[in-house]
Amino acid sequence: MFKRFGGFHWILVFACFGVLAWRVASLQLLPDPRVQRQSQRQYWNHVPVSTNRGVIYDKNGNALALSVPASSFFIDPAFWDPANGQKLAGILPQDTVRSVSSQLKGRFTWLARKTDQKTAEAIRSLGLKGIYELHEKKRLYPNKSLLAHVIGFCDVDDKGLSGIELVWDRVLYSPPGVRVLAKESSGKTLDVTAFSESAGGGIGSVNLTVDSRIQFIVERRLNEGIAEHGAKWGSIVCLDPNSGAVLAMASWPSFDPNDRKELANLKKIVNNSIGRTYEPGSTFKPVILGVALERGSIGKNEVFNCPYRIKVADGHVSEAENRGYGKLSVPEILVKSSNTGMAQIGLRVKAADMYSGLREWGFGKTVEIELNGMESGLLATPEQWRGVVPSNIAIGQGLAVTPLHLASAIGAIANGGDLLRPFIVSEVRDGGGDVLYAGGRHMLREVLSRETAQWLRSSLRDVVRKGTGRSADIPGIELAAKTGTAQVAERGEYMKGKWVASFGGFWPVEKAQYVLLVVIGEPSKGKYYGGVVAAPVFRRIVEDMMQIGLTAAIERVG
Amino acid sequence: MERAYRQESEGVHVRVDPLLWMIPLVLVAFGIMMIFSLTAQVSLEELGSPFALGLRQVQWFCIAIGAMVMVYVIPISFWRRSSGIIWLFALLLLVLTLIPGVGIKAGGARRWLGVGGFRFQPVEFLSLAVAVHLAKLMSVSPKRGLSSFLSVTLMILGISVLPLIFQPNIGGTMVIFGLVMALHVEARGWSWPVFLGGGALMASFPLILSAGYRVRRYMAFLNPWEEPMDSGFQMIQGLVAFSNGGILGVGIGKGLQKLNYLPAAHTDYIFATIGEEFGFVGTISVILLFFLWTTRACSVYKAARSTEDPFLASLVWGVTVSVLIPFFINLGGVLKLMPLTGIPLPFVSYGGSSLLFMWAKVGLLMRACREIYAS
Repeated sequence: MFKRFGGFHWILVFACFGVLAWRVASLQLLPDPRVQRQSQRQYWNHVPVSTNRGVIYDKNGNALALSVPASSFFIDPAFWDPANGQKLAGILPQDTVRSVSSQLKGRFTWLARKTDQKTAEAIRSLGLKGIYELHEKKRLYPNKSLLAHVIGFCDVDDKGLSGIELVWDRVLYSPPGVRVLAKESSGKTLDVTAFSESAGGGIGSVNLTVDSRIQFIVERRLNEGIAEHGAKWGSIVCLDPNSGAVLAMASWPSFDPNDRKELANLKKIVNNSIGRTYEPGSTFKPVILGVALERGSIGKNEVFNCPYRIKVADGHVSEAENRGYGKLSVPEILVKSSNTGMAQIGLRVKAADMYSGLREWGFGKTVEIELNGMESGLLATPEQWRGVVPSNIAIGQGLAVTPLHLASAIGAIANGGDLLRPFIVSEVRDGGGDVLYAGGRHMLREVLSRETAQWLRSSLRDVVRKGTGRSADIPGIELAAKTGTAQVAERGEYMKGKWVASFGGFWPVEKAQYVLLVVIGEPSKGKYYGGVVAAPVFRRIVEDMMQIGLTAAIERVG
Repeated sequence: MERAYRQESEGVHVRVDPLLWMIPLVLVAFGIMMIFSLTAQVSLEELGSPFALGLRQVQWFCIAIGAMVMVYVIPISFWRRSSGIIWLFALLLLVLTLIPGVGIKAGGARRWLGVGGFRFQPVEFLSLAVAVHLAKLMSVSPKRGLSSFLSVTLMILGISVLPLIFQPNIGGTMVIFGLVMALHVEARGWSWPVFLGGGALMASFPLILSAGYRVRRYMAFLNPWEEPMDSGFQMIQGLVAFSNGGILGVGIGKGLQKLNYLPAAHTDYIFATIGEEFGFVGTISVILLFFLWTTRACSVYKAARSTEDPFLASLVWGVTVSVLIPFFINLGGVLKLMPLTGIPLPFVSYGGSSLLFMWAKVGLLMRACREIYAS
C-alpha cells in the first residue's frame, strides 16, 4: 500500500516533516507562557540617566561646572552570577564588591555610576555576564577645588546639593532622560534603541560675578598663609565696593567637588565666608567709629587718654601691646588700634543707638546673597549689654559676624557710605536664552555720610602708612585697611592662645576698586597678630593682582 | 512526472529535475542573507569587516558549486567501482583529526582539519562515503537477514563511528547511525534494525553520559527551566526566538536573540533566528522547501526502483537521507524535540564543510537522476 510513496521508509520521512511542522506551529503560534515571560523581561530596561546639566560660568565666561559624558554600569540580577562579584575587587570599592557578591533582587542594580575611563575599561574588559554599560552625563568641575564652596556640588543623579548648584538647581537641573535599552546577553555592548531627551527643551546657565583669576590668586595665597601659620580655618572675600559684586570668595579647608568621597566631610564643605561666624576684633573698629561719628557721640578730632588698661563696670579692657598710649586723637586711636580708646568711644554711644546703628550696618542678620548656608551672626539686644559688654563690642568682641558681613561693611566705607547687598550671580538664563535673573547694585541703606566715609578712608589709609597695617603697605598702591586680632570665645570664656587674625581693607583709597578681607582662624605657630599673619597674605594677593594687571600702582610725582 | 521524464529521456536531450538544485539554491541564498545580517557585528569586532563571515560563506558556496558540477560529470559507475576506496579515504581523514598537531581542537572536541586557511570537517565527507559504499554493498552482497545486518551493516557502522566517538562527536555519530540504519531498512527491511536499533539506543546512553558537557545539554533538554540562566539557557533562548517571531516575525535584522542570547545564531541556531525574524511564515517555508525537495528526491528514487539496478535506488535513498538526517537532528534539537547536538542546518547554516558536501550530494543526486532517466 506504500508503493505509491516509494515505500514505508519514505512515509516515515514525510511523517518527520509533519512532526516538525506541528512543532514549529505550536512554538510560534502558541508559545509557552514561561517563554513569553522570559522574552518580555530580558531585553529591555527603562533606565533614567543624567542628561546635560546647565553650565556655571565665571565673570569672563569660563566654565566652572559643566556636564561631560561618562560611563555607568548596572547589573541585571537575572543574568548575574554573584560568584563573579569577587572579580570586581580592586576595580570597585570593597563594599560595592561585597554587595554584588550576594544574591541581588529585582532586575536592576547600579554597579558604578559615572566612572572614570580607567575603571570603565577595567569593568568592560572583564566581560562579565549581567553587567551592562550605559552612557550618561557627569558633572565636571574642571578647576577642581577652585571656588568649590560657592559652586557647590550635586548628588550622583546630578541634583544640586549645595552652593550655586543647589540654589539655582531649578534652572541648571534637567530631568533624567529615560533610556530604553536593548541588552545583550553577555553585556559586552549595549544597543541604545531609544533615547528620550528630557522634556522642556534645553537647560539654563548661571553666570557668576567671580573673576577666576582673582579667585585663583586668593585661594593660592590663602592656602599658603594657612600652611605657614598652621591655622585651623580661613576665609577671603573680595568685593567690588561700587556694585557689591563678589569677585572672589575663598574658604579653607577646601575640597574637590569631583571627588565624591570628600563631600561627606562637613568641615570641608562649609563655606567659611558666609557660613562661619567669628568675633571680628579690631577690624570692626571703623564700623564703631562710623556709628559714633554719625550719631554725633564724638568729635572727629577729640582726644582720649588711652592707658594700658581701663576698668569698665565688672571688667576691664586692656591694650593688646603691653603699654599705654597716653593721649590719642580719634584717628590715632584707629591707627594704633587702641583698645582703651575705643572702649571709651563705645561707652559714649547709648546702647540702643549703638545697637540700631550696627543693625543698620547689617550686623546680627543674614547677608542676603544667592547662596545657601548663610549664618546671621550674633548681635545681642541692648538689654543684654551689661557691664563690660558695650566696651567689648567697641573693640569687636562679644559679637559675631561672617567674613561677608564685614567685607560689605568695609565696602560701604570704601564707596562713600552706601551699604550694598553683595551679589555673586550676575545673570541666570533659561534654556531659551531668556534672562530669568540679573544681579546688580542694590543699595540697602546709606550708613555713612560722604564726609564721615571720607574721614574713615583717610584714617584707614594711615593705618597702612604708619599704623598696625604697615606690613601690607605696597609702594604705589593707596591701600586703606584695618588689622584685627580677636580672641576666640568658647562657652562664654575667651580661650587662651586661640585667635582669629584678620586684615580688611580696600584700594585705591579714593574711588576704590577692590575690597578685600583676609581672615585666618586659629593660627598655631606662635604668630597671631592680624598685622603679622593676615596682612602679608593680603599684600601678596594685591601684588599678584598687580602682576597680572588687574590693579595698577600709581606713579607718584616727586 | 515520471512519464514526462521518461518520454524526454527517449530523446537526445535528458533533463534533470531542476528543483533538485533550485531548492537548495534558494535555501543557500536565504542562509547567506541571514549570515550577513547576523554576523555583521561579530565579524566587525573579531575580523575587522562586517562582511567577513558572510563573504567566507559565499566563498565556500562557490567551492561547493564547483564540487557539485564535478560530481555531476562523474558517471555513477565510478562511485560503484570506487566506493570502498572512497570510504576508506574518508575514514583516513577522520582518523587524522584525532592526531594532535594535525587535527584542530575547538570547544573540547577534535573535529577539524586545516586546509590552506579553511577548516574542514571530515565527518561531512564520511556521510557521503558511507551512503555510497553501503548502498553498493547492499546491492552486491548476497547476504540476507541477521547475517547481513551483523556482517555488513553493523560492521560499516562500527568502523565508521569509531573515530567519531574519539573526537568526540555525538551529532556526527547520530547522523552516521541514522544513515546506516536507513540504508539497511531500504535494502533489507525493518526487522533487525528495529530489534537491535532499540538496543543500540539504550547502549548510547552511557556514551552520552560520559561527556560532561553532553550531560548538561541532555538534562537541559528535559527541563531547561531548572537552570534557566545556566544549562537551560541556550534551549530556552531558542524557544524565546520562536515565540518572539510569532506568525510574521519581527523583520530581518530586527531580531534581538542574536544579541548573544542565542550562542550560535548563525550556525546551529540559525533556524531559531529565522523563526524570530521571519516568524512562522519563514520557518514553515524552510520546512516546506525541504519537503518539496524530498518529494523530488522520492520521484528519482521511484524511477530508480523501476530500473533493475538496486544500487541506484539505494544510492538515491542514501544520499537523500544523508541530507535529511542532519536536517531532522538540527530542527529536532532547536525545537526541543531531542537533545542539542551541534549539527548545522544543511544549506542554510554557516559552515563550509557541510555546505560543500551537501552540494556534492545534490550533484550526485542529479547525476543519478540523469542516468536513471537516460536508461
